Amino acid sequence: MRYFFALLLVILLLPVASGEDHTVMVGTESDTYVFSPAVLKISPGDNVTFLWTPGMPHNVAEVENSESLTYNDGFRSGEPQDGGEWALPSNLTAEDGTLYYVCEPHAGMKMRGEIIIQSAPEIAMEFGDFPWLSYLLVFPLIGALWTFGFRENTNAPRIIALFTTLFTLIISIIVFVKTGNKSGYSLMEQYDWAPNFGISLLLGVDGLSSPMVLLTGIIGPLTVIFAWHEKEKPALFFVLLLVMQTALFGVFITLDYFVFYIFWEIVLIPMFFLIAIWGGDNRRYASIKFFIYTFTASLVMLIGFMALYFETGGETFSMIEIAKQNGNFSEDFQKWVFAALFIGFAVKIPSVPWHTWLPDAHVEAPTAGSILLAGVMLKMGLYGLIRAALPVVPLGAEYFVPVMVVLAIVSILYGAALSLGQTDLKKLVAYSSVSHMGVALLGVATMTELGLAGAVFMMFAHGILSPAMFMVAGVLLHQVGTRDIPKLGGLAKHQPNTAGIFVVIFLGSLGLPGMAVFVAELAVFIAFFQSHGYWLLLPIFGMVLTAGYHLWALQRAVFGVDSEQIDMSDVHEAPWYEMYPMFSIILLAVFFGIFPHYLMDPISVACYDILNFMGAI
Amino acid sequence: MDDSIFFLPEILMVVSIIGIPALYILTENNKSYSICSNISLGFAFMFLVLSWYYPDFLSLDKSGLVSYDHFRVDDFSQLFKIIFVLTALVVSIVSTSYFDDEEPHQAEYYTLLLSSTLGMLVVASATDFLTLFLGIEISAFSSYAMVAFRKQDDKSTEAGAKYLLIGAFSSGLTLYGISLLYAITGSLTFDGVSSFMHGISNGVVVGDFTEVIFISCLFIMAGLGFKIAVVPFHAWAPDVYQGAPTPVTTLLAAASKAMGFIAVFRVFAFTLESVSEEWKLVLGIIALASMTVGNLAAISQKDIGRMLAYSSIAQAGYIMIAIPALTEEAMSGAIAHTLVHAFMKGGAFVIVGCIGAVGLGYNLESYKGLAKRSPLLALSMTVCLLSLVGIPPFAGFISKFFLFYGTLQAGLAGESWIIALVIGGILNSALSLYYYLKVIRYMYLYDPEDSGEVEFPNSVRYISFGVILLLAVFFPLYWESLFELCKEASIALING
Repeated sequence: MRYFFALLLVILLLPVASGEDHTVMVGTESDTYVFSPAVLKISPGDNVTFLWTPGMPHNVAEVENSESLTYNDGFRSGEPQDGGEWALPSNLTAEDGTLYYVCEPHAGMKMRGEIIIQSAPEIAMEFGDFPWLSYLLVFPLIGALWTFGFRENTNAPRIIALFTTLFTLIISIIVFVKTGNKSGYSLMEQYDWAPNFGISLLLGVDGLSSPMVLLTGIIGPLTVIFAWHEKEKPALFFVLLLVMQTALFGVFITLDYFVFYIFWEIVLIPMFFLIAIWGGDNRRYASIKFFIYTFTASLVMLIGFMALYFETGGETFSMIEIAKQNGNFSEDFQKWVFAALFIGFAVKIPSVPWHTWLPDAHVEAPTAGSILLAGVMLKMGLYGLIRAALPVVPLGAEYFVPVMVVLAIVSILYGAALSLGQTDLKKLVAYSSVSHMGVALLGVATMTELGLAGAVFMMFAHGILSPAMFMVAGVLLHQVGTRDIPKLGGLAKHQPNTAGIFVVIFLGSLGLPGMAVFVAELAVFIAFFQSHGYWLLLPIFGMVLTAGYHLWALQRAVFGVDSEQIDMSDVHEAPWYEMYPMFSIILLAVFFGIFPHYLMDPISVACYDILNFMGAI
Repeated sequence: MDDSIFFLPEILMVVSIIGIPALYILTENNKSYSICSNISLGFAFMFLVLSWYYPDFLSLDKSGLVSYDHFRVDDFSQLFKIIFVLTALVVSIVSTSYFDDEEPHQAEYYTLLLSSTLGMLVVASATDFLTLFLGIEISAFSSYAMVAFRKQDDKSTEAGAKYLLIGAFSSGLTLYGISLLYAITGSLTFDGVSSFMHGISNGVVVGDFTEVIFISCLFIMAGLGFKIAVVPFHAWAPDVYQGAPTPVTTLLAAASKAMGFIAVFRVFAFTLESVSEEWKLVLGIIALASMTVGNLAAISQKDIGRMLAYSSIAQAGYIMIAIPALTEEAMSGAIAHTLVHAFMKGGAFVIVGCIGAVGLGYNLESYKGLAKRSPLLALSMTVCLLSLVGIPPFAGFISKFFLFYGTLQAGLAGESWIIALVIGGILNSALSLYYYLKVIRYMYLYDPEDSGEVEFPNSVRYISFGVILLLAVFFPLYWESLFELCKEASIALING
């Protein structure tokens, strides 16, 4: 009876005391001379059992390293045997490290394997003492209500909007500086929302989100200034801009899948109205297409989130907690979930073949809408991919690397080729966005630190330069009357200062060394060369096209003989409220082009963390 | 007799049903009827809310059930009674602005409204098939007359005739199903039938009743299916919603539908729960067909009433997916969506009625430029419609999330075909976006077709403002409490 109780106690304690069980097959049905799996990743404390497939006599014997073939007095299963099993002594798997082993009789036939023991990486989580991040969410909203209160006034809405966005810019700079180069999440805040479902407003920034926060902060006041003389319903216009800014901040600082999804969807509503009310002639079609396209995609994404939630036991929506359990997800599950998430994100990126909503939305949107759309909204897709998909389903991501590479290269080439053929400057910029975001997707697809960092840098660089391109299109429409490239020509003589700024912006966008886009492209291409070799020629060819359509457009529109289709006496320099935003963007682009480390350092740390988490380093 | 206080809402209804005809004899003033009905509904609403939030105040033991032989007051019934009375109150207030003073037969109208509400209250508390049937019929007969209320109007009369014929037919079907159940179980109470069914599944009751139960489930489902308008019993809904005076449509779409769902919940999720194998698949197919057909048909509608009717059919399909899942979470999701649906649809129909009443018409085209005419009404309509799609952060998203969450959980734990229902629901949500957006587009992107000035009644503006607050602010912020409420109700429902 006593023994029985003792046995019962042992059985009860067993699951607590031991880690997970893994099995290595010694020889398989199809190939007798392999260990399967040859590389096994385990956590400290796990148990490993070798199981012989009958056929040939083998044994297991430790060797020094991955090259050595001779037994080194380490662990050994005994003389070669045919059939049976042997458990690896548990003290060997207690600490981090790598064990190499061979089958002594067949070591010459490369019958070898390794066991990598790696504890789950710790994530630093630092809760802030001041709610900076909540302020980012709350201030634009307060500004929106305030603006709405003064909707009858002509001046008040834009002044309040400018004030609010400048204030938010200061907060976002503070957030960026405070985050610094630290590993892990900082300035975290947590507010319970629906504890029964494990949903909370979990806010936090790391080196991945802080550049995006900074970008959103920078774009805010620029948009407001550029839309300074908006004549149609200015109050509503600024209210929507501010609501949109809140939602964008929300996307970039939440670490909870559910809240992330909510902010992700809220972004659509103000954007829909921005396109629908202030858009061009075809705005009705464009706005509906935009809404339905992205909403459908995000529903697919939601299915992926729900699958993750239920797979981890349905206790929490926290991205951190769910990502910690990524070792328990089976490979098939990871593939399906990554596919669902990727569809959701790829539509937002947008990657070919889901890009068709973008040109319509851009062409019809008002300039300020385009600025937000190209500057910040397009970054949501890649940000989501890096934040919400890669760390959680690493095996799924690796499985889809070829797909991502192909889509990225097609996006680069196809986007650039289409840009070459556009006559509407806005459409040209829209397709160039497809091409540029293809470069960023290519960086993600390399799955290396440099590639990821290049991708994030590209998001920031494109986030400031493509708004500048749209501003150019806006200026042409306002000051010249058309943005149709064949109708333009000879503007440089009539608006020399403006034309000068145009040239710098175009050069920056095509990747001139010394400006931000170049740094990003260089990083991505180096990383891609390291991982995929001479396939690099394809995206490089895309860059040639990129230079081509930028310079060609510049040459046709700004230089050359005076166009006869426009009245040159009506052509003026851009007014201050259009000049300043473009000029400040150039300053930023040059600054981050010459001192990229201010951005690159935090980004690299965050990318290293993410890859470390995925087990790729 | 102390417990009679809990029937105060029903008593108030009965008193005013007698009182309004008495007023008609005493005074010719048309306003007095609506005032009388507003007051009694308002008191009933206040009482219900008080008894919900301050059970001590009325010495109501919330966990314990106050049960007479045929009535029960529990969390489930109280929650729905609040919705019924609130909807009826809104309808009663809106009706004053919808009918002008010269409209004849107003006394009859308000009497019918209250007796229809009385029927719904009875259904919410029913504990046996007979009471349930009685409640449904009280409510249904009153609404037949209300639908045909404008007897000079061809469409209204036609709708009334259709509704009466189909309603009577469906009642017959339900009754036949109930009689089959009575024949095998010898009981009419939900508890009695439920324990007999438990006996069958436990093997205590010997005998093969599979076919009888299946057939009676089919008949009851067909009968109740007409009430909640699910495919293939839905054909009446668009005609009736279009033809009836819009306040009546509001009542039908918001409250009457919820009443049908109470009956479905009580019968399938509680009474016949232990023989769920017999009806699960049928209900699942009905749910899937209902949402797909509803959404597809809604796309091509030109009349806003018909469009919302088809959307209602689709929404009924969403709610139905929780019933085969049968877990507490899924049922509370279904209850939550039924409640929120009452607000969204009710809110939308109030505006539809208002637009119709001021003479702009019921065509989708008549919504062109509404944002210029009244930003508040346009915003309220936008919130209701986006909420119906299920776009965050509006209430419809949250209740739909509960619904899909609970059902998905049940599907993952049990039968995997239920997951297909959830995926169908999600895809349908994307499909439905198109026709709701069409209305929003008309409201904001087009100019009014004629520039005539239009005055919108104040009552509608207040109600619209309330709907915005509720759907866009209150529910999203306090959705944990909404979930708690629905969870309590679903526990009360499932445990009987």
